[in-house]
Amino acid sequence: MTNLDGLLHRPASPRPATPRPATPPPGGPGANAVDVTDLRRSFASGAEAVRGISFSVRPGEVFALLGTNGAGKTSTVDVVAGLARPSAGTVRVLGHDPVRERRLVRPRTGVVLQSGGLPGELTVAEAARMWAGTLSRPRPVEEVLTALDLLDRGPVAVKALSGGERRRLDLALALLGTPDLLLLDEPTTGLDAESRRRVWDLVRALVAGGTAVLLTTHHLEEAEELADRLAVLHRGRIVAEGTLEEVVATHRAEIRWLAAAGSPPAAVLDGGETSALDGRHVVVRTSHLQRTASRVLRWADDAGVELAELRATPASLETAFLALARTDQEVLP
Amino acid sequence: MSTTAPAAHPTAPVPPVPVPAAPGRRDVLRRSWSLARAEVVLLRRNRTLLFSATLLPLGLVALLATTGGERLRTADGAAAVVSLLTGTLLLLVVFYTVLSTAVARREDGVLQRLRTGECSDGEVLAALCAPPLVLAAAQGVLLTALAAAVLGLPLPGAPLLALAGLLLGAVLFCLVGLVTAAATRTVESAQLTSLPVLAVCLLGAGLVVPLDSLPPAAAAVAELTPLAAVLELVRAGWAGAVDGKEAVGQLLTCGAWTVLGAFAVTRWFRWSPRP
Repeated sequence: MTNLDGLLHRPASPRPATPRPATPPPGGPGANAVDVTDLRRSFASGAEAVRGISFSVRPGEVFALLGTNGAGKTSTVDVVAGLARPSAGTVRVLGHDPVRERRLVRPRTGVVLQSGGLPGELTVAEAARMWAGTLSRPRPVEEVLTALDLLDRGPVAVKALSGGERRRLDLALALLGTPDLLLLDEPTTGLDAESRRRVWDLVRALVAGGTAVLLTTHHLEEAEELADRLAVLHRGRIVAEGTLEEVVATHRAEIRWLAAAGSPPAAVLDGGETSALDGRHVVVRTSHLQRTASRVLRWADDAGVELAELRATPASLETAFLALARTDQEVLP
Repeated sequence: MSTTAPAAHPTAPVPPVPVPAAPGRRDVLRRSWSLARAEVVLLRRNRTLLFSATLLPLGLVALLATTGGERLRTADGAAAVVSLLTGTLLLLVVFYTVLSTAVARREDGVLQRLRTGECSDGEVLAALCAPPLVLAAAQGVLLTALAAAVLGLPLPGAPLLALAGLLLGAVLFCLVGLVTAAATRTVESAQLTSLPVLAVCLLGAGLVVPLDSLPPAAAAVAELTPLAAVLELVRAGWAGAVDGKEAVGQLLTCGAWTVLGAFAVTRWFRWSPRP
């Protein structure tokens, strides 16, 4: 990734005679890039993939939709991208209906689909030029390919690219149109660690330039790295939403050890802590890990108990996410 | 965009004011051209498709030349040659190429991706159909020249009518290809899903069994099938024996199929591999 700066500066249109067809959102500066209200999406089979979710994405922020496979992330992105109509609820993208006012929305939106393809027989350069030829405000193809480390792959057929290179090409095409809103559906799937970090850097640079990003991922690290706010989707519903800290705070830290050592008496734990058996282990859940851990250790010392397999796990997005994904909880506070 | 004369001098000569091209139309052309150019590159690189689309019609002329003999130099013979060549171009070059290309692009996720861009659905589909149409047009010219030289095929007596039939047929069989793609899961299965269409068209147009050998009711129904209506128009245009009433009826039949095809594409065409 050698040329991120170039992507931050919106180029003068190489086609000055073609006015930008869209106007800013009716809400004016500061209006949300995406507003989703009570969205539902059902399929012909009767299955309901999205069950009444609401969220918004502001300009210059990354909003992540986290969820397990089948949680409804892609179904949501499809509706926001205007590829599918909602069964109920409303979706506004840059102030417009993404299906009925597609002409106004698309020139300002870049989309990386989970399953979007390209003809394998085209070369990278041909595919990028084809895509650029359909845009009203394309960046120079070479600039974007350079930013995604694909310039030297220009003469290579798309079918000969590795999975990671194809994903980078997907991103390159999404960035060719100078988007105000990026919809990224699992954008780093198949990328190695180095490429993933480069993509994250690129996304951060775009967001710093004011681009709004709706990101879906099941890589928790990705959400931790990028998301300003996030929502956890489970079975079509949002079960937690907020900043990373707010979502993590919905779950408590854990201290666990082998049950043979016994449980601490109630007096050792204060009102906010709980102790329970979880299989072979005693689990103490707490919002104050250090304080509780020190109390438990003191109790074990005093009682001469050895806490075999002792492990303290701070609250994290992973623990919160796993807990949320395991439950059928509707909405957390 | 329009220009108007000054209201105070309605009779004064208005100097010519250049009317700028509508940006919308220019954008449509630019986008469609970009996609169509890529489709042409892809067609050029698909040797199997190019081979079948190019050599089969040429082989047909060679076959006719070796088996048809002097019978083809009569008026009936010319009508048969026109029917065979037109039917082959519309079914093998236009219909089958559009069908297999649409399925391939959908299964590769290309159509879904294109829908995330600025092109309208119509532009995407038009670009997809453009290379087979260009190929069919080029082959039509080549085959006409070959048939004239080898089989003694005369030039069309009413070229406008013949051209109208060919154009309507080309659009119609693009639509039939797109509709059939909706019921086709893979490129390989296009060989199966195309069979009913090919059978109905070939039988209905009398290319397998002469229509006058069918019971009158069956023949009347057969004449309403898509290829039959198109071939009637093209044959009439080629022969130059135009019956206005019949031509209008055939145009209406073709038009009705085209409207029905456009409706079916709008309603049932699948853009995503996912149902």
